[in-house]
Amino acid sequence: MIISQSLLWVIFGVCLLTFCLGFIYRMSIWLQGEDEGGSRKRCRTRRFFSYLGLFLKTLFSKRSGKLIKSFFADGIVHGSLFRDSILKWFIHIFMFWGLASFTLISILHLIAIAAAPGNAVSAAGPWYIMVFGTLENRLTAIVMDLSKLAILGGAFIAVVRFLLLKSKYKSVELKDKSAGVIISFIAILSFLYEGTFFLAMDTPVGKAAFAPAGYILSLILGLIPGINWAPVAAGFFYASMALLLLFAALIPFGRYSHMVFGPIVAVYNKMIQKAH
Amino acid sequence: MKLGKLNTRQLAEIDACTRCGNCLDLCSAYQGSKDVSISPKKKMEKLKNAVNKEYGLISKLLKRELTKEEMEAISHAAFACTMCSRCEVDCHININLQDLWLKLREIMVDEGQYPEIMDMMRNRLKQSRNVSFDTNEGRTDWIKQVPGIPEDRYVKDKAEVIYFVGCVSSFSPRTFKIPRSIVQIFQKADVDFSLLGDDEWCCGFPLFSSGFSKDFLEFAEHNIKRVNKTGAKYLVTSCPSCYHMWSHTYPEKTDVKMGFDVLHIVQYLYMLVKEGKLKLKKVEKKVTFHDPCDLGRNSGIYEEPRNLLKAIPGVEFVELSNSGEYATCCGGGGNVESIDAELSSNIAAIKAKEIIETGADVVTTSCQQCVRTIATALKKQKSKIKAVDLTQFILESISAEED
Repeated sequence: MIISQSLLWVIFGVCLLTFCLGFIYRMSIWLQGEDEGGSRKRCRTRRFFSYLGLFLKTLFSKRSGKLIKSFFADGIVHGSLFRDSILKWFIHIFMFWGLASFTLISILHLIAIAAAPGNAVSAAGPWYIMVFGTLENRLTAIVMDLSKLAILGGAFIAVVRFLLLKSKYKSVELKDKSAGVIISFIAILSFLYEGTFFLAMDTPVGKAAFAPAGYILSLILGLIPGINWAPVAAGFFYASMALLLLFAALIPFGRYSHMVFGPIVAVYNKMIQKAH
Repeated sequence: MKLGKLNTRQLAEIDACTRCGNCLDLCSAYQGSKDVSISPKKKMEKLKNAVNKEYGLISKLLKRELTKEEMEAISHAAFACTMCSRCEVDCHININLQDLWLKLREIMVDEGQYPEIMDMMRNRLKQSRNVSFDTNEGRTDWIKQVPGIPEDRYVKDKAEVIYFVGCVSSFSPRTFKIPRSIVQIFQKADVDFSLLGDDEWCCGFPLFSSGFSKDFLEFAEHNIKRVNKTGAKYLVTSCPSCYHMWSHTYPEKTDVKMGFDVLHIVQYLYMLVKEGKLKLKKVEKKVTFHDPCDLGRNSGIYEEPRNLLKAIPGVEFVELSNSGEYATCCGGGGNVESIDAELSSNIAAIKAKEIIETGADVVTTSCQQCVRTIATALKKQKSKIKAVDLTQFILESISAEED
């Protein structure tokens, strides 16, 4: 399976830059607002550093315990959602953590392939290329497969919940549902990459089974005769990676920005929460 | 429209809202109207669009602005809110929603996009210093029916406790029983207290909560200076909104120092009970308690009213299904009653159903507005449950015959 490493670096670089610009753009909007006290005399840069200072000051103060607790309870475990509705919590945890793990493992996979010697997917070279550079590695295979199963599982429960919901307004907005559709589409493309990868590399069952969904898909796709799977796998690899990175890069610009800013605001507000 | 008054945190919060819809079930205004456009979720969505139109790069390049219709829709949603802050309690990302709704009203006032009736209330307050149509000289007229009142009607130069009666209790005959009960309790407990008489100005809550954030300062400063003159140790209020203004908003928004502690009447009465100055006697009734939004969620006072009720021998206390920080609004908050009486009545009807389900004989609360709305709603549903202020119930207890 031949991959153009320079193209991968370009895709990764452009998406990373776009994401950072989006983040800065969004923050520049926030910093156009007033200070908490009501004045707006300081420039945006000074105010940014003032907020950063407040964060660091809290992080290294007696309140750090509260901050860390909030980070886990609100940002990681989404405790308040669990208390509210276990079903919604499952949907959210599956989709949020599924997407987060999928994005992380995909980026590591892309970097490892881009950094691997010889423009090819292989299990040779330094440890990070051996671990993340191929789906034949157990860790990469498991995380890649389970994270996407979590996404699709979460999306499935969300659809069932929506169909059973009497008051449709209690579900997320239609425009927000598009995020679930896009993510699910990317996950399916990535499953196809897994399946075709195993076929292209002729991966033994002992290794491929660590990505169960991808392996089952490879068995099904294997029934189609006369196909050279290497270029197909490369195509699915490029498509899934490019779409995933593009989606992630555009998050700060659009209506899905809560995916990034929700946990940040949850922790920040806990930090400055007024004590009644 | 200019959203320049939003602060950095609020702009970030608007971006962070997941529009999960969790707040829909909790919003009294939505439950009372089933109009999704006034729900917190929709307000956030409208705000997100507004922020993008005001600050967004593309909008700046294309010189896009919010349309009149969009502004009117935001204004309608902003002023249909009861400001109960129930949505804030269960927000998964801890958004300070009440701050945001209040700021939104301020913005609407600055932009001239607010219900006309607000102007009437504002002018009335500026002229007469109270929310009723009466002159401020009638502030202590309610006290005439209290037995054993001195000639000065308890308007003294110096006292240990200042009782800040509030506009509704001072001028609305339906609620006169509340200040009368308090005066009688004070008499029985031998409290050295004073009223401010016509020197008592509205606490400014109607102005502040309607978005007239600058107008209320004059009221705050006058009241603080006047109470400081008395050398009082405590300022006691029976209205939770007055209490919230005195205890939270005044210190935050004014520079005038307060030389006294601010207590809500339930806190002060509980203090008197603990000190043995009030002897509570047997009242055999099944009683529930409704947490007023400005006392409970917005000021954090939940324990004292319950402790008082539980301290009365013979009382069987039963909680409402939504109590404490999860209590729902009675429909009387956020000036909604004057803007949309039907919505207020619908919200109160939901509250009344919840009260009836407890099977209580009496529903107590600590707010004259809640007593009014709940009593009316219970009457409409032909319920025999009596709605009273906790002070009335305490007076009943201390006046009861010994076994």
